Amino acid sequence: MEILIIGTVRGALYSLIAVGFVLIFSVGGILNLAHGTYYMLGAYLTYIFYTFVFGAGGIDLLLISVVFSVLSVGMIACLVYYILLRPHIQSLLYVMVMTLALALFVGEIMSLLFGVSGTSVPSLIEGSMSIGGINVINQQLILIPITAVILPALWVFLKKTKMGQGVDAVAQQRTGAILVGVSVETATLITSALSASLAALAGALIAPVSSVVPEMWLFPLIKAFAIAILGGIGSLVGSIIASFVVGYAEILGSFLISEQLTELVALVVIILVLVFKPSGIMGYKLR
Amino acid sequence: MNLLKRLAPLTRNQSPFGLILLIAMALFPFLSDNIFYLEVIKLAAIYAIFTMSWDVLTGYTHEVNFGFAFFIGGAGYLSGIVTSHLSVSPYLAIPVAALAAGVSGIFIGYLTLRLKGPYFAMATLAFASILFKLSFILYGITGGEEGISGLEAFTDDPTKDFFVVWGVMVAVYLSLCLYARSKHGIILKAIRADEDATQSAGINTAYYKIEAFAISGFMAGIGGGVFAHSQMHIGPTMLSGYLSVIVVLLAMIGGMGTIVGPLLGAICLSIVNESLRIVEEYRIIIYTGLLILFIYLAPDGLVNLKFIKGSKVLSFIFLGDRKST
Repeated sequence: MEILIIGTVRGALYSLIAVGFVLIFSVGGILNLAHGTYYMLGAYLTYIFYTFVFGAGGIDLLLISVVFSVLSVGMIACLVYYILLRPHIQSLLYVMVMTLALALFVGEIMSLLFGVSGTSVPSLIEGSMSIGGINVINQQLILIPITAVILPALWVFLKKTKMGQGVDAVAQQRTGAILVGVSVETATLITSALSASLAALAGALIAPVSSVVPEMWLFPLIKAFAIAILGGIGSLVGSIIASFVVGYAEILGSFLISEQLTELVALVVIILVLVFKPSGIMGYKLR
Repeated sequence: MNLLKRLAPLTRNQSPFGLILLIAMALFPFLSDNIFYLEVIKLAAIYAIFTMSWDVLTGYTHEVNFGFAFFIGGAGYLSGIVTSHLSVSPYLAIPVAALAAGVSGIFIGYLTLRLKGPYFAMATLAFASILFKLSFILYGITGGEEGISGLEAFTDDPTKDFFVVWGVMVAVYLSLCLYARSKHGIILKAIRADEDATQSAGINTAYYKIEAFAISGFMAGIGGGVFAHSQMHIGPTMLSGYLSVIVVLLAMIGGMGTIVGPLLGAICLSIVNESLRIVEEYRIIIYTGLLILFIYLAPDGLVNLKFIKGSKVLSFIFLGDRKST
């Protein structure tokens, strides 16, 4: 039972992060190693807006600062894509190196501004709830309904709205999309903003229950990559399934073996999948 | 006479600039007694070993190795553990550790080199991260966060130490140049241009890629061992993603696929990094910002810039390329 609940919370968190990672890869061909940085910025900007701009007011102000931070991370992602990545978007090496260097750079700035020991953000909802005899912190629980709203909304956006259909078309068949008049540039820009915002939302929501430290970008990045590989790069459904699989597997591992090994789970998953089934559970076949 | 003939390929088509750089570094201890500057140059030389050995795989085949710390730190730890627990001389421990790194390169290469592009890059990153985590989990052997201190140094004199490092660097540089100019290097370049075409010419591309991966791992292992013993300390930072990224950045800024480019990039930028110590607080921010700027402005690297490739004189000076196309 405990495994089920905590695993679901983790799965929800991971799916918010991983969906954006997969989306930007399939649309723009961008392997965004700064994805963890967007997650980190979501947490840090919530803290900055809440403490410095709104002077640590009430719960409604906290909510507003979460919204602001998500929006501004989306804008930052657009700028990064437009200024830094666009000129050499064809070179995979350039994109990977640039985004990773950016991740280091932002991490260092944050550690200079707020120190390595980290800061914390108050919870949106205080207290904890008891489900089947297990105490779960409310802040973690709200991840589940939020994810349950966001993911279908994303699906509706991609399948039903004109803008989303354009994005989806670019992801499926780049050349075909260009031929029918979809602007790849716009689609990639939208996707950058969207995927960064999702990561920032995850960061802002998890900030109260985990410490906000300058190194927090690395761990979600590795998780996102493991999930993307397991689900098959390019498949959103696969990545959502894989998020929950990894979430449960980690909790199961930490209950059965030891706490320390949870972080190894994702890494071992990456290697096993890459070696034995590189296309993942739902992915297209690799050439 | 016979010996001279055999050594001839070493000097032919050699980049004059690279040679001048190497000799200038060797002359440095005679010009200055400042220990601090000597340490800076030594560190630069070690970084040059890393970037040059990284270049053999990635620069020549464009298979991006993002987990280079795996070899550096792995071999460093191995030689550190062997020397401190079994009291073996570092001169024996480093080659053994480097050999182990090379063999694990064959193993990892066999598993992962059939993957392409991002998949390969991330697989190497994952391997390096596993080793990084293990260095904390197995703290009984590795010393956890603090690492292992008090490793045996090469000599008791910093100047002699410097010459050991310098000698290793020159050996690595020359042997990698030789390798890159041999048939093997040409095949690697062919793989970079078009792997399928190379395969259909009857060349076992997988073999050559694994070979390059193993050599790159072996050289990095030597570098890692030398690093550990010249610092007399080894810690988890040598396995961290930061080191991997810095190696990639330095090599890219210098110019991939040229061996001399990464040498130039590593030496210049490490010196810049150390001289930024006057503003210690902001050092890493300025440094990484500078690296981002370089990559943004010259993504192909300094020695691959258009005006160097285009000009006969400059391309001879930097690349040793007489027939300038």
